[in-house]
Amino acid sequence: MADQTKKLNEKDLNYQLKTLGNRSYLLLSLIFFFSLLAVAIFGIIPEFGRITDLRAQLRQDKNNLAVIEQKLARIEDLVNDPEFAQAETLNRLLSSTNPFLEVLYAINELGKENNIVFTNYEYSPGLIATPSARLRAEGNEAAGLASTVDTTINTSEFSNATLRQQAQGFSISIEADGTYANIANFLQQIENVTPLSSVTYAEISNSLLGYASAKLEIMAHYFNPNVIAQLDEPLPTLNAEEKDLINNLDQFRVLNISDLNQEDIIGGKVDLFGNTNLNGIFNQDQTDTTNPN
Amino acid sequence: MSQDINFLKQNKNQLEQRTKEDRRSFLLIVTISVIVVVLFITLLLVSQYYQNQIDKVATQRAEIENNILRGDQRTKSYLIFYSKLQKLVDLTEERAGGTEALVSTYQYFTRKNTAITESLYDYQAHTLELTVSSNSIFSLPELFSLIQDQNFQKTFQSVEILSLNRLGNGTYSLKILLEI
Repeated sequence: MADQTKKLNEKDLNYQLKTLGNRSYLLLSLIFFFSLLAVAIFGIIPEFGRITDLRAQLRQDKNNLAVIEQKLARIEDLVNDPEFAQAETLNRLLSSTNPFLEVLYAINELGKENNIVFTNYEYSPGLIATPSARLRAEGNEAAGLASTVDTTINTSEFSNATLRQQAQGFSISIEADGTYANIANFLQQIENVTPLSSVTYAEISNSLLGYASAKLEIMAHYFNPNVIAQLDEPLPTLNAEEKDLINNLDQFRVLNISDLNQEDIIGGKVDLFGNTNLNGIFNQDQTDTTNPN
Repeated sequence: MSQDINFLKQNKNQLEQRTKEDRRSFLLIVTISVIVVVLFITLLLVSQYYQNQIDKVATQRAEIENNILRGDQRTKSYLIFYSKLQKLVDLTEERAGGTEALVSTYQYFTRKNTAITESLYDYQAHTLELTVSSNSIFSLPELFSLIQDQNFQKTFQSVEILSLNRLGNGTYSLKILLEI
């Protein structure tokens, strides 16, 4: 029985082999078909996807290239930019460092020009109850203390989004005497000279007898921006309002502290302390120590 | 009838027919294979072309970036300039013309019978509080008409009369609040 089954299986196998031998083309066709299927699945379809991705990347890269080409052209063209040429004046107007002496100089000069006598100066960085102090506190809060960060440029990580920051400032309280008109003129002029200052409080009492007294608070501004920008981000362009302001910077009078004549200071260049003779004091001290009597 | 019983010949014919069909199918699939292979090679070439283009753009980009970095100082100066200009715009807008209002109101109210006796300017509130006086009851209407003048009122956001006082010396004073 087992022998018969074996013989039958052998016959069946022989038949199958013979059939396959006769249908070699079909077999090859099948092999080709499955090979094609494999090439299509593992080759053509992914390649199509890759080409699509590469095309998209190329388009993106070309766009980025165009942007940075424009940026480079813009940077090279900045030398001829009439607005950027005003940068020096703008820096004088809105200094990066605390312009304390310059502000005092401006107040003094304009006071002299308007015949105003200042009876009291108070540089008050610590006052918390004044309008300017409140303004400054709000500014610092909004800036997230960014003002303490030095001006640095990180060329790999620029972001114009961080450009909008709060200006820093300090306030000066002044008591002044003069005519009402002169005090009002002084206040108008102090807002239109370098360095930039704003009158944050003014209380003027007019006696109607030709003189007035005023309590003033002036906030001097300075701004040290923390500049960060993306390398492939185009340089920002000025809008109409900014262009208008930069083209009218000459409305601000430039008061240069280097114009200060040291001869005007009591004692002149030689003796900044006026009539005080320091050598005399030292000699006196030495005399005192050597000769107690 | 003879055909029906010639199984061998019939089988041979069937076999030949099948082989012919198989060969036709094989030729078809070989043709398709050639097309697919050509397509695949074309895709590889296209892909390589795009890759080369990307590499070329990357090289150009690197060169331009180097040039931009060489102009780093100028870029920095410009960004600081731009930032400061924006800030200047903000600061000048915040002022709202308070000191100009001090001067213009002084010029407006200083007349033969009227004058400003006190003024209080608040930058934060954008207000100017004025005490304007008339030297007698007879000039008080003039003071009112000055305040109620349309052109004067147009120059401020709002004009509000806070109080009217008569002083011992016979002068009348009006306290007005101007919103700038």
